[in-house]
Amino acid sequence: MEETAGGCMSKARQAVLKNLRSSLQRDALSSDATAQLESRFTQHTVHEQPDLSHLDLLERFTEKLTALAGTIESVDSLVDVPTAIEAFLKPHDLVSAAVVDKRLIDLPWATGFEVSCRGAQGADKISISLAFAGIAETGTITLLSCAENPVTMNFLPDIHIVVLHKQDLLLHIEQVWAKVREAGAMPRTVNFITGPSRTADIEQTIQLGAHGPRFFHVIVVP
Amino acid sequence: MINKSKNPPYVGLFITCLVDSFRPNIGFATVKLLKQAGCKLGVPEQQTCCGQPAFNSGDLEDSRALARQTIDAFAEFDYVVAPSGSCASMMKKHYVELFEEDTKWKQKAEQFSAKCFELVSFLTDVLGVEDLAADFNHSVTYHDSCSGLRELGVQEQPRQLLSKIQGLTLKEMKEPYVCCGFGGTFCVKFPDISTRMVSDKVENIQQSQAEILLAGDLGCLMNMAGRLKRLDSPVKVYHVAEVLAGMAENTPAIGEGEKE
Amino acid sequence: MKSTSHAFKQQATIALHDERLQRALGKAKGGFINKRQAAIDALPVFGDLRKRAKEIKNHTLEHLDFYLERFEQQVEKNGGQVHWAEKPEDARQAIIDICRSVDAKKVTKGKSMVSEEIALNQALEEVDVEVVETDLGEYIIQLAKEPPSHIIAPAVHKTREEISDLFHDKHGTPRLEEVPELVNEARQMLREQFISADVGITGANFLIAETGSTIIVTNEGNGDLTASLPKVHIVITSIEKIVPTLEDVTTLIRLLGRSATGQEITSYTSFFTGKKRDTDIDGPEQFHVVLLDNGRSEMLGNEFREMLRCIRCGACMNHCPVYGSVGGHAYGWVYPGPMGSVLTPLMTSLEESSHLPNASTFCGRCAEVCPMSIPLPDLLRQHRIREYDQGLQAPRAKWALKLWAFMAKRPRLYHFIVSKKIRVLSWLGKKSGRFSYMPFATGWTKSRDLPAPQGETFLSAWKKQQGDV
Repeated sequence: MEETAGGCMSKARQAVLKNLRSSLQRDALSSDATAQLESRFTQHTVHEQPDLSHLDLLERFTEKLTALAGTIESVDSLVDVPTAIEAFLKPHDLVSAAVVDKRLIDLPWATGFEVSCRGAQGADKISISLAFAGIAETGTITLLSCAENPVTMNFLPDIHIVVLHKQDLLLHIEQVWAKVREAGAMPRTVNFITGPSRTADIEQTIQLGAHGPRFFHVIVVP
Repeated sequence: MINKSKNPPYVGLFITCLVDSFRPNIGFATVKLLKQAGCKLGVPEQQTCCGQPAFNSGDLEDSRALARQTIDAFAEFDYVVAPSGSCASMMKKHYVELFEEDTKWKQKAEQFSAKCFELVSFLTDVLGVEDLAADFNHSVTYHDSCSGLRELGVQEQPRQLLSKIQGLTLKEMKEPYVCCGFGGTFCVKFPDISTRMVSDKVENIQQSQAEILLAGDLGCLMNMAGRLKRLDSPVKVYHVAEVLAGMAENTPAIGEGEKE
Repeated sequence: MKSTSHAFKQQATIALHDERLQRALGKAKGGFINKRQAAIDALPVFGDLRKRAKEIKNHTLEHLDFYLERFEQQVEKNGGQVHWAEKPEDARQAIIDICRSVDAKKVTKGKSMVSEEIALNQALEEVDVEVVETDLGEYIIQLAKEPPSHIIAPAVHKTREEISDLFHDKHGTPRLEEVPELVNEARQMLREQFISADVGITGANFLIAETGSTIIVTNEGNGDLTASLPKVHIVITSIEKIVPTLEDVTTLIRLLGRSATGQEITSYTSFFTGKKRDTDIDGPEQFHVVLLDNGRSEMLGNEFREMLRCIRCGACMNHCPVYGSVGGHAYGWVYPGPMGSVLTPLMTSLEESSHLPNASTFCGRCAEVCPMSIPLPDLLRQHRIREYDQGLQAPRAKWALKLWAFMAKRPRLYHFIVSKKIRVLSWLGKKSGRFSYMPFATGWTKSRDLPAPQGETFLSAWKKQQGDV
């Protein structure tokens, strides 16, 4: 092996591409051929999808999310979110502190409720995020990694609460891609989350709360 | 569906090596069913084996030789019918694959393939047989042999015809479509696994509480009958053609002697 | 992982008599099969998705070089690095080099079958890097020092009692009985590991050329913690996982969950693109994708190309009556069941694994349930053709079949000999109608009676009848 890692890898790279082309019985594609293929990247053709056009988005979303042990409620406006969260957390009897999405920090949080904007840490019990989108087809929340909602918020705490604007509730998965492209490029992480963490690795018995959050609660606002 | 008012279909019977050797009654039942349905019948002497054992063992040369022999032996017929899903699917689906590189034989294989059929589906799908003047006052359960089921789509047809047999009650077993563990050389190469598979199948057969087991492939039937008998089960095993032709009642079942 | 596929027969026999294993397999099988069926019944467009998925994959394979180069471009654009690996040792070395460059002491791992293929864990441990499997099933078998027995549910062969014993023994904690308690203990044990790991290694269910993204489809959240907490994220994956666009991958995602576990979508489906952005508060500072070939580029050009469409759902093994009887360990390597019987000879050697393509009745159930329409029995037969051509078959079996073919090609000789033999056999078996013992067929008669022939052959009887007319 050559000394420089880059040199080594490019040897392997050359070898693999050469093997591929030999198997395909051709050389590297001409620029005409690649131009044709490039169009696939700009056309974003959507393929066959389940026919769900007749369904009410929120009803479908609720059905699918709750089937996977997520919980959901609707409130009249953003300002009602803190109270709804307080009521949701009551039975859990946890410390009144949460890591919160920066975009939600200015909501009227109760005085005893400590809110911070940072990456989550091992000791954090509660996180509150703002959804990029909801997908009614599968009952899924879409979150994009960003300064306002770091990824660790989605996985470290025990309880993950997500605020979803009704207008961001889409029908099919592909509509999220259209929205992402509109917003710019792909971020470091796009998370599709459907309910709390689970495992069936012990005798195929479903158990919630494997390594990710044990509870996943969605609050829908207009 | 063919128009029977024209010349009667000229059918070549592919007897299959197992039926020829072990249970000619199935052959005679097949003859009866085809004649009853208005076919003119022939049984070419130049037939031996469809070549599936060679094919599944990776011996393409012998498979091709047997394919050519079979295709030529049945050249004069309108149809080639076999009382076996696996032989029929070998001829109908795989002969063409054997001759990818040989234009002349590929064409012959394609033409041959178009006229090959498994017996029961030939009766229903091609001849339009809807009823059979037969009776059989027993409860039966039906096993779906794999090749017939998955390569030829034979599933509804035997059940359709069995429902027309007077006095017959069909008691479906659990998972009738799961392999019985025969698989040609598999059962002797991997006897322990094969025994497990046939034991699972026997459990399902027994749970169905049917008196009689039927299927469309003699290999499967001998495998299941062999295990049933070893376990002293009273279940009797026949080929579905024998029941459809009314030739089961007074014939010893598969694996049974004259005294039973 | 070192192969023991040559010992398939013995391993299978042991498995058949292992009561605990049989109980575990029985529990798992019905679940996977029924859940998949329910999910498919609820999706009328399933057939269309299957057709489309085959089209997408075939198109991608036909232009694999283009899509891989495009993927690499996009990964680099997002601050990541692609490492090409022709063979397993290249992949191992690339990963070791990355770990060394950051002085890594501890690595957390999400589930990755490709990492098993290259025997990564052992290689890292040999250079004093601690490896912590975080997927619960992988964690269990890591404690038990066993290989995975299923590509989706690696610990499917273990009963709850065995896991209780294992945790009690290895954690040094009081013995727990109930599933919630066991899962909770694993959660506690692994929490600290996630946080203190220097490098996180995950696999990828799919790679997207359009965006340079890698995807993991999971339920536990361990994959995400592995990918997001440490400073370095390495994706170990293989070249055939690539898919052109986000829309293309969405079709495949719809098929994967349903085929694997009957889920329309898993709890977490995550898309990773490059390293953390300057504006991100968390996330890895380095993103590496190791692309393994290991024979796949060769498959692209031979009779096994269709196997490259595999999305590793496990439906084939869930429905296979052979896998269902003996479990995954009998197969002796990384990939079990029908897909493993096609891949293992290609990635190890045909000599080493020659039993695998033969341990099949060609019932065809695997091909029936494969969401990518891979003709698995045909591919297994291709291995048998290679075995025949290379003279790898057991001599006795080969000559028996040769003798059969010799006779069958000579109808008059065949009918003469067979009708004589059958006459004798039927005479011997007349009274009882069956044999409980038959020389040269003890594999059969050990557990089954052999039905006796009825009398003379059909063709002799027919000939006589026609003669009479």
